[in-house]
Amino acid sequence: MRNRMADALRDTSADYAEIRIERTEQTGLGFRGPEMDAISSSSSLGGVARALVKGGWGIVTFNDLSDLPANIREAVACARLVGKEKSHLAEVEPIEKTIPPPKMQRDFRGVPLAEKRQLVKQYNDLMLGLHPKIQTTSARYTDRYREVYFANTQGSYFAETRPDVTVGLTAVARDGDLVQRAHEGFGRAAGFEAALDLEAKAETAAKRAADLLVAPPVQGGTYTVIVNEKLGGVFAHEAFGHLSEADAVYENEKLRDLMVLGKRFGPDHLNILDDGSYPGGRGTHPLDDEGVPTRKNYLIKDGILVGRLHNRETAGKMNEDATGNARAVAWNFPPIVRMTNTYIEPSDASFQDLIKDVDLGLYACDMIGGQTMCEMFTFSAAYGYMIRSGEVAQLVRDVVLTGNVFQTLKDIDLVADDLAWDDGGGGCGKGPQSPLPVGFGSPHLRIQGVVVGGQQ
Amino acid sequence: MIEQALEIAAKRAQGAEISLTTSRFTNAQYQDDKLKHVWVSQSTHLAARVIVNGKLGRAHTTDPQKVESVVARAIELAQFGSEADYQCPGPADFPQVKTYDPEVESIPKQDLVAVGAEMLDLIKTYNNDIKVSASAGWSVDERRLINSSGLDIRDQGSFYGIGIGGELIRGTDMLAVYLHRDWRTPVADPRDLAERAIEQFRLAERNVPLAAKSMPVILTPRASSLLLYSLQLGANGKNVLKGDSPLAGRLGEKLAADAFSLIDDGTIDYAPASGPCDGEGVARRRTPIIENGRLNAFLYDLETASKDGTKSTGNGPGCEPSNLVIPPGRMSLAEMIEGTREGLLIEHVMGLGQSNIMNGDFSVNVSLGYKIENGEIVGRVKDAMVAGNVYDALNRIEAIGSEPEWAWATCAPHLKIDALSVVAKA
Repeated sequence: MRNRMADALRDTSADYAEIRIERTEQTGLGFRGPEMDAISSSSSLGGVARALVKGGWGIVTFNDLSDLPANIREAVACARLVGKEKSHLAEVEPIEKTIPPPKMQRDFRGVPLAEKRQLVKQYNDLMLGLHPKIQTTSARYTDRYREVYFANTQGSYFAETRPDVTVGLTAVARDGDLVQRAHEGFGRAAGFEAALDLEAKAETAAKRAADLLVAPPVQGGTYTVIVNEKLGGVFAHEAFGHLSEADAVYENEKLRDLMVLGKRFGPDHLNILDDGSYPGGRGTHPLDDEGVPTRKNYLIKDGILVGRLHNRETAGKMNEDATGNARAVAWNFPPIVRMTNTYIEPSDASFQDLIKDVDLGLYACDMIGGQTMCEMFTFSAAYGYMIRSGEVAQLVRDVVLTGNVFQTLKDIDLVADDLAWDDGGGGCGKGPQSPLPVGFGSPHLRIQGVVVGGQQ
Repeated sequence: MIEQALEIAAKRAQGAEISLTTSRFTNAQYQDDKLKHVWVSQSTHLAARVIVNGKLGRAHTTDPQKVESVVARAIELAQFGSEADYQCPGPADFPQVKTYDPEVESIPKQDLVAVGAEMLDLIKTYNNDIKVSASAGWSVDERRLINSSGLDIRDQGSFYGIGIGGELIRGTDMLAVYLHRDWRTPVADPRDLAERAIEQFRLAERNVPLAAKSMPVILTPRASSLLLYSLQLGANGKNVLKGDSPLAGRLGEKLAADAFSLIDDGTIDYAPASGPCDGEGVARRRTPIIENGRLNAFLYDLETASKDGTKSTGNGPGCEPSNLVIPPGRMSLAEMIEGTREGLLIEHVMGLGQSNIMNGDFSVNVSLGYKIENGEIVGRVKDAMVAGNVYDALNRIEAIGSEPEWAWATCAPHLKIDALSVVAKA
């Protein structure tokens, strides 16, 4: 593969060009209710050629690999229609590396289907049998073995193997017209062993779905909100992280003014980072999809905006260092600026410190989803509890938080000391590129004056 | 080549289906006032579905050379597959529906670049401070689907799509507008679409406060997803069969205001989700889900239909809608606004699908919405959420608009709901 890629790149007239080829094998199976729902297997082989001419990109995606030089020529022809200035990419050392897969105790490709099925059935049966109000379930297992080959005109080459195992467990409880669901998931770049021993997650999902049936919906209004670790991590990712992606900033002066480094974004005790080199993280890779080494990047340090996430183009044009954040979700997409493992650093408050003087508030836990549009965000907690007189009170459902990220970051008045990572196997979406494996983490946070949706 | 695969499959399986799809697209993308890339793509998908001992196995590859191993894999998977107590459909009278216009793929890259530039210039002329995003592109696909019941279908599809919008930042206040239009023929008019985007920017020039309370809400065609998302989950035959859908067992019941109907229609010429047949080879058709306010039908694929003792509605696999159409009513948007003393016009919501959507509950951020006072739009509202339940809101539809618009595969008019709960930051 390496020679074919190098040959195709050899005589190009582009200022810069690269080829990434991926081979993926995937198996998925699931139950819905007591029955086997779907089982499928897919294999794909394809690639993307990118060329940069006078600052403009041409992109060609293909899964006919018979004529790579033609793909490069077509990418150059596309780029010529775009480029009008000078090409400028951040300098990086050419690399040459073969990255082995993370340690797999049992390679899932050798595990019999019957065993995979039995494992999922076991989790599914646990959920179905846990409570009489459980109406149905969904239990899914997916494994994916992805081989990536990359070469560019600057002499870089890498080959990487990326295994990924996910388990998703959803329980649906019903009482008359009221339907409540709860989800627990797990994902890791590991072998089949990572999918084992998740019984506690199955029980948690089923119990919560049943409990939510008797929980009242939260009353809409403005509250002091304590978010748990998973929800704090989603907030850091969705509300703030996406604004730190330099592709939105580098050619947008107004947004650049808003996101100017050195500006205060939050209180002194607030630190937000993205780290693609974090050991064992779901978004961890030694190199990004432009062959740039990943690293620990502070975005907010002591409340001050100090960094952002780059690909080589945005870093080059902003005269900042490449950060290793160019990532592509699959063979048929070019790399774009993405997060890796995004987290809020722990501070020194205890959970008790956060809650003790809250008269009426909300303790919002885990997430169903999150979305942002510019500075606005909404994120939906999977469940929540009212806080009354400094104590966690009754369970409530339908907890949707919304706000303006700049204000909300300032309103984080306490950060706890209990950082935890979400291992839920979720992915991030940006445009059509979804789901990209990413990591989220946070300690408990207390936020003042959050708008919570709901009927009044 | 795929005939051989079918032969191999038919030896071991009672039912088998092989499909081969090739696709191509070209697009030009502008962001922050600049052309960022031109992208060309080619892809191939070969899929095998087999029924062995009453169970279904599926496998898929991008490599047409691997046809035999894909069939073998599907047969291997079938021993653990879901129950499939049905036959592959044989040849049938498929609807004569137009899905392909050869003009689409003859559009050169340069023209796509030029269309983007034309829309960009119009927005910049209105307000140079807007950072403009735009796109223009086409795609074509060709499919051949054969099965062990003698079905052999070849169909072709084309798409042409344009998009225009941008971001306006004033201090820490941001406004994003983006409109797109997609059709199977190259009919989208860049000038018209850019003018509509400018209209949105104009309406949002001023931000106005909003008090939290219950008030009338008008949904634009693009915001009708607020109601349709839950409804399409509720009408999904599989959700009905599994008892997840709150609509299970309620056929014939009154569900919405009398004037409201919702139709799944895969037979509209050149509409995005139209075609002669669905992914399982069953003819596309027109299925009224809600007719004059009453729940009339659910959507089925082969597997779900066989389990529920009914017939596929051509919505397979997955029981998902094709094109969804809400037939228009009589009131213009202008009349709706005129008749509103205090209310909200919603163009775009954010966070849909995060609340308990199956139940019909929603609680969404109004990412682009306008306040109406004494019959006039007075400005944009921010930091507001609307909450309620779809099945309650359907009964509160007070007026149905006379100017339907397509947004991807949905065709909806404006809908006025007499009251929804609005939460806003004071």
